[in-house]
This record gives sequence, structure tokens and C-alpha cells, in this order.
Amino acid sequence: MRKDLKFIRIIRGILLLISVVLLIWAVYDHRSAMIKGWYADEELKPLQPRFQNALFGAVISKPGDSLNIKGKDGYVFKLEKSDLVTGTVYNLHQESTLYSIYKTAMLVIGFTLFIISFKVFSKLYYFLDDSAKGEIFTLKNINRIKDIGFFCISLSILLWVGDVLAFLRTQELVRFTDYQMEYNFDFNYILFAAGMVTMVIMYVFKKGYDLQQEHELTI
Amino acid sequence: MAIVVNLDVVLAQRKMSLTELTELVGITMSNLSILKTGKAKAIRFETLEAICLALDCQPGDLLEYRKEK
Repeated sequence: MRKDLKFIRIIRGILLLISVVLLIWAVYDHRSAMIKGWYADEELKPLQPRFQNALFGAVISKPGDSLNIKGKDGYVFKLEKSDLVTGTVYNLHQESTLYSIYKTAMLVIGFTLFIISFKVFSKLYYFLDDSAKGEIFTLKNINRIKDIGFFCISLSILLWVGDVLAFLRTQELVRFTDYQMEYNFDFNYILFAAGMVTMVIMYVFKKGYDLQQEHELTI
Repeated sequence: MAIVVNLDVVLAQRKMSLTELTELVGITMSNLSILKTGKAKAIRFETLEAICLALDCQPGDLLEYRKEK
């Protein structure tokens, strides 16, 4: 039993270490967005050659200048020039209602994903913490495992919805161009399966809790 | 549960307190309270034997089956 508890403590330590590494990596990976602004990562690189021509270069000469372009179906696009370290980039902004809806929905989903991920981490941490103390088959732990399973299933669905929204949003943005968007989003089966397995483990823990109660209430 | 523990009745008949029974049987007060209040899920034969010996009674005096409605 003491060996098992030591093993749980090691797992808890690994979980903390991985979480810290992932957090540092996430901050490092999105440093440009943090320095240059929220939408700095949204540069449409495939569109660069189309707009890097003399015409646009002459009209929008200074960084921060913009040009309104009328596209198909009455859409109006705003072309902005930004001088980055890597070169000149023309960012395309579209002021359509559908685009804004997709953007807002993605923001909401992103925020929800962040909260759910944090919840999964905290519940897993407290589950391991209680287990390391020897409190394994408790109602609190059963509820935690149930929540983790539910959150994993929700995460897999929300990630897929987020991918679909990102696809629709970008498709909306390049609608007036000759560019075609590729359908490249997959359902995260592993996360979904992990959620289902966690739900099964929850029932195992429930049985364990019943057996423990029976054992403790046997006089 | 359909099985009812009549430990309090037998204790009253013997004019014995739960503390006295605890000393005689060697079971903790909390465990005997669980048994008395009917919260117990099971009872070991050795516990039943010890209580029967202490109270000079039969298992049937302590346990009763009542059909659930």
C-alpha cells in the first residue's frame, strides 16, 4: 500500500512537471501574439503574393495604412500593411456579420476550452492528492473522475466544433479570392475514447466505494 | 433494510448500558452504535457470538425479519 501511494505521488509530480512545461511552451509559442497583439497570428500567409504588388505598395505605403476592397456579394475587406521583422505583411480584415459571428463563437469556445482544461487539471491534481493520502474510494473522487470523463468528451466535441468554425471563418475571409480552403479537421477520437474509459473507471470506483462501505459497516 | 436489529430492546430487558456491553464484548462504542441504529450492512458470526454470550440470548432475539412494504 505504501509503495502504491509512493507511485501515486510520483504520478502527481509528473503531472505538475508536464503542466509547467506545457504552460511555458504555450507562452513561448504565442509570444508574438502577446507582444504584437491578439490577432498577430492571423496573418494570411497564402495571400501574401497576391497583395505584395506595386499597386498596393503604392496605395498603402506606411505601416498602419489601410485600403478598403469591395469583394463579391457586397463584402468589404480592409487591407492593412504591417512591417514585421520577417518582411512586409498585408493583413486582410473583413467586416462581415458572419465573420464576426464565427470569430465571437471561436472566442467563446476558446475560453470554454481553457476553463475545461483547467478544470480537468485541477480535478486530476486533487484526485491524485487525495489518493496519495490514502483516500481513494471516496464520493469526492468518484465525482472528480465523472467530471474528468465528462470534460474529456466535451473537449473532444468542442475542439471539433472549434476546427469547423475556424474553417468556416477562413473560408468566409477568402471567399472573394481564387483560394480554396481544404477540409482538414478531424475528430479527436483519442480524447473521446479517454473520456469514455474514464466514465467506465468512475463506475469501477463507485463499486469500490460500495464495497468499502460494506466492509467498514460490517461489525 | 428488512433485517431489524433489536439490540436496544435486549439491552433494556437486561438493564444493561451500551458502555457495559462494549466492555464485555470488546467492540468499539462506534461500531456498537452502528449496529444499534441499524446502519450496519453485515455482522460477523464472531461478533454475534460475543454479543449473545454477553447478553445471554439467541441470535433470533437480536435479529428480526420485517417484510418491507
